[in-house]
Amino acid sequence: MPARKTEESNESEIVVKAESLPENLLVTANGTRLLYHKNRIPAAKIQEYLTTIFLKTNLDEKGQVKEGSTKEQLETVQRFLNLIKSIATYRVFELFDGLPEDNSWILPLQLAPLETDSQRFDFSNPKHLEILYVQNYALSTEDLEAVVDIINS
Amino acid sequence: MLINGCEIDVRSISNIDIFNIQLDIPEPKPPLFTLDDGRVIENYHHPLYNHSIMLYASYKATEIFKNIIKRSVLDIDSKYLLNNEWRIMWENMCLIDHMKPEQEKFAFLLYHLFANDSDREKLIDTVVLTELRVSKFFNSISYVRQGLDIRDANIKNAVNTGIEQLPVIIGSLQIVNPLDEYKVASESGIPWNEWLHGSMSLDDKASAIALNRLDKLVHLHQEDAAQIEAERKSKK
Repeated sequence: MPARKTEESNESEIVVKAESLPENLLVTANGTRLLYHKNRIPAAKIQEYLTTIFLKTNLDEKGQVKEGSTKEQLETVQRFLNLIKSIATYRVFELFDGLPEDNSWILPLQLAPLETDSQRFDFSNPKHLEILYVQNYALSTEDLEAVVDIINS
Repeated sequence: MLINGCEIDVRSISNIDIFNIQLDIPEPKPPLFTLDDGRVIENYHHPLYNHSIMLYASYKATEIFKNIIKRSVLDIDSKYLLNNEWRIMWENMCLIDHMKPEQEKFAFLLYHLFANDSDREKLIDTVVLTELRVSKFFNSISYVRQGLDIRDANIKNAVNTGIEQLPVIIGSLQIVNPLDEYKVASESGIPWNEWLHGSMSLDDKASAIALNRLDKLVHLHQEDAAQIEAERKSKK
């Protein structure tokens, strides 16, 4: 049982310090706090990357728009996942609170490196780990609007 | 030329070389749609197709601009690469994109020095033959038909052939189609090779194209007026 505080207790010990948060902070749907740095990568590079991904995702090798086999809703999700991946890849986002101490999240990524981007990541490099965490765990589809706003702002 | 305080050596290039690029992604084609009667038609109104067309234009313009940089920029002083903002960007691009040191100058030009549309347009207009340059000459000479500028006057007997060129536009600048250059060179008796690699400046070429177009427009109006007159006489 915690000791009861007495009148003599130092007040500063029981007051929760107000945290000063930076302006470039995004709190994602699952509560992860991300700092974003738009000047870390050229906007033109991000735009170029997104355009290429969109076209490669939605056109076949002859340029025919893919339709029918994939439902529009799935396409939207796929495009967004690509969007998140590319943005995170370029380290626009950074973990405000750092990586979680428990690193069990790494194992599934090591076991199933389906994406080419994952394959070229070095799991012993902390910077790469941070990118992987942002890509796979910090952002979700619910953050779509906020992410797009940041890119377009 | 001077861009954002950086001095770079550039040279003018031929439009035919700009158009001659290999793109990794094919031009979007509309999805096919089967009607109730079994006929298959192309669905040009599909939202995904329209979005793809829009993005493809942006993709193509970027690839063409890369080609313009590669061919027109001769050199840039390495001291400009020491810019702090650029160093951060470059380190990130090296980390993720595995960029190589020999790619840095090109990346600096593409993503940093010419990051803004206005700066890109400044380079394009300096090294490439644009419709903007041609229009300056085209609009500088006055020609009227019955008091009305011939550029605005209607041609009654115009024939719509349905033939049109798909323009290449980067930012707000349209690149002159090489076929227009070829026609002017041929009609002027200038060997094509001389037109491409000779001593003619971009202004020389632009004025030749502008005068050729103006001459054809005047000719069209003359034919139109003659035909109207012939119709009038035949009605009498």
